[in-house]
Amino acid sequence: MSVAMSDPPPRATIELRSKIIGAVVFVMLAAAILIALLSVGSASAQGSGEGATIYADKCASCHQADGSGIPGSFPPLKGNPNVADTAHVESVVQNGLSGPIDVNGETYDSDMPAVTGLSPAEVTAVSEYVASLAAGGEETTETTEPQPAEPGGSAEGQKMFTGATRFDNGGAACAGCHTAGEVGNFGGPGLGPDLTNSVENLGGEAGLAAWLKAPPAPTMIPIFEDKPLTDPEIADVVAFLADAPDQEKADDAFDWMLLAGAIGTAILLGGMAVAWRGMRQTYRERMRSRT
Amino acid sequence: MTTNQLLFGALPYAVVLLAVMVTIVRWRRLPFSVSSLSSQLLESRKLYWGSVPFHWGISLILVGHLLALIIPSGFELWNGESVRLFLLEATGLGLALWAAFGITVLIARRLTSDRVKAVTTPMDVVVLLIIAVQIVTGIWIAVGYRFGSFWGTSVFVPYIRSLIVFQPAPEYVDPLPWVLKSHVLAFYAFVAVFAFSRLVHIIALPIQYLWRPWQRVVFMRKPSGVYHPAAPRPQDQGSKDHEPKQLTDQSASK
Repeated sequence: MSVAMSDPPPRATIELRSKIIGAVVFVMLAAAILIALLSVGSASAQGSGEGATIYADKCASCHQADGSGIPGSFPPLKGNPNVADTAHVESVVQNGLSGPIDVNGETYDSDMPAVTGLSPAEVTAVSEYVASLAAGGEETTETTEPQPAEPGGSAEGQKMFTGATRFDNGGAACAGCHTAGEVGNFGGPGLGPDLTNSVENLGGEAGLAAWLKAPPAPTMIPIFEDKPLTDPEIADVVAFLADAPDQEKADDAFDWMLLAGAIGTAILLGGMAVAWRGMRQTYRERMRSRT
Repeated sequence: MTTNQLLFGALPYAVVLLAVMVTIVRWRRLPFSVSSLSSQLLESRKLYWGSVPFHWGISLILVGHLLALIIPSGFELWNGESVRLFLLEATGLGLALWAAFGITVLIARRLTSDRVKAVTTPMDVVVLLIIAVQIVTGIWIAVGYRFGSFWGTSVFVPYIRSLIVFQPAPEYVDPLPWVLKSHVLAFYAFVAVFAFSRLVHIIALPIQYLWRPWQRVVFMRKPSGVYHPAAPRPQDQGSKDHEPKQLTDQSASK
C-alpha cells in the first residue's frame, strides 16, 4: 500500500452510508408524494359555492343569467316544468342532454355536455337552484352582456379561427382542434369535431355566441376558463362559422400530411443508405474478408 | 383524490424523484454502470439501421417538445399560417416514423440476434417496449388527433408548467382521449425505469467532447507524488536518472 494513497473507508462505514442514503431517498420520496397529494387535494377543494354562484359560472352563458334561455337554441329554465324535479336536473347536469325536448310548446334540439368539475354537493346545490327557477324563479342581479359594437366580420373571424389573428386573452386558436368550411386538417381527423354546421347545431348565431362565451365542452373548459373570448371576437368567429356551410369544403379526401411524413422518412432512410456505402468496414471485418 | 389526480398530479413527482435519487446513488456506488453497455461489437449492421434513426428521430422530437414547453407562443404564431402548420406537423411525423422504423429494427435485433440476446436483460426489453408505446401513441396522436403542436400549447404546456411550479393541474388531462393519456403515462413509465435501466446513459452523453482541447500530446509528466514503479519516489532525490526528460525533435526522430 502506497504512502500517498489514503486507506479506503472500512466496509462497515460503506454499508452504513448506503443505508443512510437509502433512508434519505425513501423519506424524500414519501414527502414528495405527500406534498403532491396535498396540493392536488387542495386544488380540487376549491370552487365550492352556492347554487346561484355555480349557476352564474357554469350555466348562465347558455341558459342566461335570469334563466330565460335563448329562443331556438337553449331552453329556458325559468318557468320550465321539466326542471322542477331536482333529481332530473342532477342527472342532466352530470350526464348532459341531447336530442329534441319540448319546453312549454317549443321544441329544442341542441347538445348539452355534462357539467364537469363539480363535487356531488355542488351538483345538488346548483340543481336545487335550477329547480327553484322552474317555479318562476328568483331574479339574479347579473344582466346579459351587451352585443359587440364593431365586429370585423367573417374574414376576420376566419383569421381568428386559423390563428392568423390571436385572441386578445391568449385563448387557443380554433383550428388547433377543429375544422370548418374551407379550413381543413390536410386530410385527417382533429382532436375536436368539425364545426361547419355549428350554427345550425346550436340553433342559431345567438346560441353559438352564448356557447362561446364560456365553452362548456370538458376539454375546452380548462383552456378558456381563464382566457375567455371577448365579445367582438365571438361576433367575428360566429360570423365566420355562419358562412362556413356556404364555403367550399376543404379537400380532406386524401391525407397529405401522412404522405408528406412518409416521404420525409423515406428521404432520411435513403440518406442513411448512401452514408452506409461510404462507411468503411471495421478493421476486423477487413481482416476476415481477406481470409 | 381521483384516479386522474393520482396519475397526472402525484405520479409525476414520484417518478422524477425516484429517477433523480436512484441515479445519484447508482452514480456514486456503481459509476461504471452509468452506460448503455453498447452491443455494437456484437452486431453492428442492424444496429446502424436501428440506432441511428431511433436516436436522431427521438432526440429531435424531444427537442421539439421542449421548445413548445419553453416558447409556446412561438408555436402559436408559426402555426397561424396553414402552410407552416403543415410543414411543422409533417416534419414531426416524418421524424416519428423514422424513429419508429429504428425502434422496430432495434426490437427485432434484440430478439433475433443470438449474440445480442446473450447480453440482453429483461429491463432492456421493458425499456424498448415503453419507448415503442411512446412512439406509437405519438404517431397516433399526430395522425388522428390533429394538431398536437397547436392544441398542445393550450393543453399540455399549461399542464406541464403547473407540475413544474408545484401547483399540479391534472384537470387539463382528464377529459382527453385515452391515447393522449397513454402518451403521457408512457413518459412517466420511462422516467420511472430511468435509473434502473440502460436509460441512465442519457446523462452520460460525453458532451464535454465539444469543448475539450481538440488535441493534447503529453510526452511525460513530472511525478506528482503518486507512487509509480517507473517514477522516482519523492525521497529518491539526487539521482539524475529519474529526472523527467523532454523529448526533442532529434530524439523523437531516432
